[in-house]
Amino acid sequence: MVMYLNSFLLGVLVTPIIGIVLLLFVPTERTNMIKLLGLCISLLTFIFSLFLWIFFDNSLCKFQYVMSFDWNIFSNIIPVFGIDGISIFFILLTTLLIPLCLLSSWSVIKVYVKEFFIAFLFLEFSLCIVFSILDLLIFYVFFEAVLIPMFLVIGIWGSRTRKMKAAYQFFLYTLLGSLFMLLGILFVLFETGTTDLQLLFLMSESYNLWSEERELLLWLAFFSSFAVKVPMVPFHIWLPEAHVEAPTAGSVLLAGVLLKLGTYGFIRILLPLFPKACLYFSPLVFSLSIVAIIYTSLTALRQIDLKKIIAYSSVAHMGFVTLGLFTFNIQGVEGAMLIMISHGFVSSALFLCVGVLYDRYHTRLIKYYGGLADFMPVFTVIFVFFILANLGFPGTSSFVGEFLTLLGICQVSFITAFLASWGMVLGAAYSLWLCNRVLFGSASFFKVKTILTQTDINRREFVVFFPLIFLTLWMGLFPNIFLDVMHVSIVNLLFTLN
Amino acid sequence: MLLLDFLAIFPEFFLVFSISFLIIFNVIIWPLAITPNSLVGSFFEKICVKRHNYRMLGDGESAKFLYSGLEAKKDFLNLHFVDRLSEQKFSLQNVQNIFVRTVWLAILILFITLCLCLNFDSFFYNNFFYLDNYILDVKILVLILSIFFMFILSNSSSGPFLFESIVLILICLLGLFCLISSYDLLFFYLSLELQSFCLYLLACLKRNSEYSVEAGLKYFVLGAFASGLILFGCSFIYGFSGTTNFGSLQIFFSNLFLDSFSFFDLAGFYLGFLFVFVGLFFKLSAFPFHMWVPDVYEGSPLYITCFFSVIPKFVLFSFFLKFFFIICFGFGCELEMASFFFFGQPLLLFCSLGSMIIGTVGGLFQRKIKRLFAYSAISHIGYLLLGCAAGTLEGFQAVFIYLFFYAAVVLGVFTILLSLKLFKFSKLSGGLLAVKKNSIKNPVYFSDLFYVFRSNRLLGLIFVIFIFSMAGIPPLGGFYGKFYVFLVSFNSQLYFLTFVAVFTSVVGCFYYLRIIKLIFFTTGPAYRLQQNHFLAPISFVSSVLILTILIILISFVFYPGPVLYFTYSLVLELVC
Repeated sequence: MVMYLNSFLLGVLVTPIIGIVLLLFVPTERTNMIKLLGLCISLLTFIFSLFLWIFFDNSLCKFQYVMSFDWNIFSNIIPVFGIDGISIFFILLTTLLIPLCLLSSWSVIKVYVKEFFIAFLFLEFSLCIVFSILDLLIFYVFFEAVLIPMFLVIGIWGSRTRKMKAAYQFFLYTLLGSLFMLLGILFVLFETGTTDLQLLFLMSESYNLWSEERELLLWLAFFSSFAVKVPMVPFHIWLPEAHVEAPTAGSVLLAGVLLKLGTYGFIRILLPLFPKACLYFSPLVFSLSIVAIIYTSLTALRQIDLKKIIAYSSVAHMGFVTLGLFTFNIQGVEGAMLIMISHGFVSSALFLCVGVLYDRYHTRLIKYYGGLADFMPVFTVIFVFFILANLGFPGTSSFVGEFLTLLGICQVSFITAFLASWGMVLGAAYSLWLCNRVLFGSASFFKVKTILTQTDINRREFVVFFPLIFLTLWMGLFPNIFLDVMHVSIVNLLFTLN
Repeated sequence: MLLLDFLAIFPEFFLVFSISFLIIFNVIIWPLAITPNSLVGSFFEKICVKRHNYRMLGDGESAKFLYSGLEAKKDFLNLHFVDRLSEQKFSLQNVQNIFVRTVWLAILILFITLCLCLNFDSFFYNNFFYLDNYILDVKILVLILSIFFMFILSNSSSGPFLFESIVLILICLLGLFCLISSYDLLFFYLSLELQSFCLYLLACLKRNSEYSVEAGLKYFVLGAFASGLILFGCSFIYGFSGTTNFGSLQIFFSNLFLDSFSFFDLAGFYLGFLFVFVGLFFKLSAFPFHMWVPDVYEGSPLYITCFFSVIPKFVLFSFFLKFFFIICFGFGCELEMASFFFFGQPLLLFCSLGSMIIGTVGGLFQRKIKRLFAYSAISHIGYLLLGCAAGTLEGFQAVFIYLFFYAAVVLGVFTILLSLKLFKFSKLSGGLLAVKKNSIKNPVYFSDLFYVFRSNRLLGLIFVIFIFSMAGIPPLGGFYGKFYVFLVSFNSQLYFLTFVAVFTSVVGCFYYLRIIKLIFFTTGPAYRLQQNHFLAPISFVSSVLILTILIILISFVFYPGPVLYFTYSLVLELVC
């Protein structure tokens, strides 16, 4: 049975690679076949990952579906794959969003279709490895490998000439950050002789691995890489650029999964390996997160680009996540996990909404929109739903996460909780105002002209939105099904922290 | 049997014989080859027509552009196309035939030499010549690399197609072989000169190009100066120790530091080795002596640049490691006692720091492909020296891993560059297009690479993978070279240097990304202007070679064992 179970994880990891190889053999002209094949492969991966969830044992705090390969025995680097209650949701999120991305760009991507699908399958492959690997070095390798396809996606299929700047910023910011992490990993390798996370966890539980200054330095090295990815405030410049210039599918994946790479790194590596440094630096993280929440919410208020508003709101939400993670109590960390997952649904859906508008009107500037409710009713309903979810409306997934997070923060520092909750108010302000400007009001001349040619969302787009609506509601109304899975792992994590 | 054994010890003798055979052969057949072989020629032409038929109307936007205007009169176009092609080619055809024939003969020679080398499995030395497993392995690797290089040449699209260049390359290889197995300072100097002279000649092979002559002259003057320095250093060492034999020197050093000598007693040695190092750094194109590199790279013919940047560098670095090891860690010498290491290390650190910075900063604003690769070569040398300066066995292993992937990726990039051929079309009456006369060219500027992705997407994608590997982006081979170098330098507490190396590799990414940007992202006026260009299809042999390199670069992620094992055994052989 154990062997049988492991094959699901292997399936998740290998299927995209098989898909890439198959796609390479399809002639470039047969775009329909390429699209269908790519979609089938990504759906197959999703099904494999669903099996991971079904056979997941909620009561175990150990890693499950563990498998290992002899890779680099010379340097004592032996990759071990495994999943616990924390990483399973990231894998599910990735495998869910990839087919949706491919579906959403079904008719938009007209040039280099094959390359687009290959890039996305490669992204899926690297992301799944990052979320399931239990080895620091391989983690780093695939953490970085994500850059290549994403750089190409922004650069080739992005919309304007500014895309080059965006692609460069995305690439260089992340690379510079993560090379410090590489130095940190080298240091860990020398100090302990291994990069195996399970061993490192065991060691750091039983005795002090590092002297105090070294632990702080190591923490900073890892933090610089993850903070760029999250992004925390001083390193967030690349995010609005990259989100705005990327094609819809690219932004969806950026917001839905790539941002979580950073927070996943926090929860997987920083918290268990450097607990003291985490405690030491938590005021820093708190203040950065508070600045992120308030500053980016205020910035979002005065943006005129649809995508930029959502991008800045992502930064604010990720600020909530980092706040929750560094409270070191169960409500805070679980709330942060829930925000991450729900942000994966909600902001992806919002980017998809913007994509729907952009496909029809070819502009993202708000001033050209207005009165969409009159002739796109279904779209309006969906958009309003996700806007409400974005501002943390009770009954949607964000509410649960933000509530739990604030609860956790309250136990640590009341003033932080007070400041953080301002983020929710400001979030409501920009979200509702955005909704108001785009959906309601009167249609101007520009819009009236296009009413005749443009229609409400079609069936394909509805299929893209439906799973996200369903999941958002489900998580909002009955979050236990997610909490149960992650509970034991998080308790275990916090136990080792204290 | 005796002859075979002898040749196995000295494959150099076989090389000498075969080179002279090659020269005689070419001189004899020169007048015969002027009359074209009509049967073979027409056969190849037919294949050419067929391939162009497919590729011209295959994928890529310029091909589409072409297609739209031409579908109706396809046959006529093809005839026309080939006509123009052959018109350009025929004047050169015979010379090129000789060239290709010589290349194949050279492949045969190198292959036999390889068999001889593989046959040998013991070790041999006398006063000036030394052959152990390390040297044998380096020789085998060099032979494999040169066979690979010759295969590239057999399909090269850029001239000059002179058979002399092949002969010179073989003589250069002979010099390199002698260099790596030299066991005496004088023999080392002589073989270094042998290979350098060939390189000077090769650099100015394109006689009617000013750049090429300039490159050759510059290289010659500066190289001769560096050789003079090496000789000067050798004389210092000889004067202070009374021997030029490496073995004697090794024994000499290992005993020297047992007694307490003052700095001034040893000043002559320090000076001598400083000069030898300077000469070697010059040949390796390390930092303070790097000025010649961009000009020479740019001026020499494209395939010579490829040769420059891989094979002599590989051998010189292997020799440098051996030399460094001998003088710094002679036998019986504990690390603490090897004070020559503490003399050599700051030197290496200084050069590596400078090379990394100059290589990355200098490459930022280049517009020509070859100049960029020259600067990237300088920065790569910086990383290699950093691994060497770590002074541990793992450091040497890291250097070999780095060298392996460096050689692979440079060969890959140059295979693509050498097999690219740009055509420009002009409109004829009636919507027809034809190849413009004298418009066939090789890529020189970055903007020429722009057609790669448009005309042949898979090739563009592979080129980009190579560039990413050069930049050291993780899942590809180049990253592991850098990773191991960082690992060992970090382990030897060279924190500052490691930090600089990390930083320069990020800055270096900037210019590698520029190439990628040009290949993939360019739209707008430049794109529209140049739509009448497109690439000729690449040959079968080139595509096989490119695929080989691609597999090497990618497969390391999945199966790193063989490379690590091989490099580790190389290091052990070097030490034992």
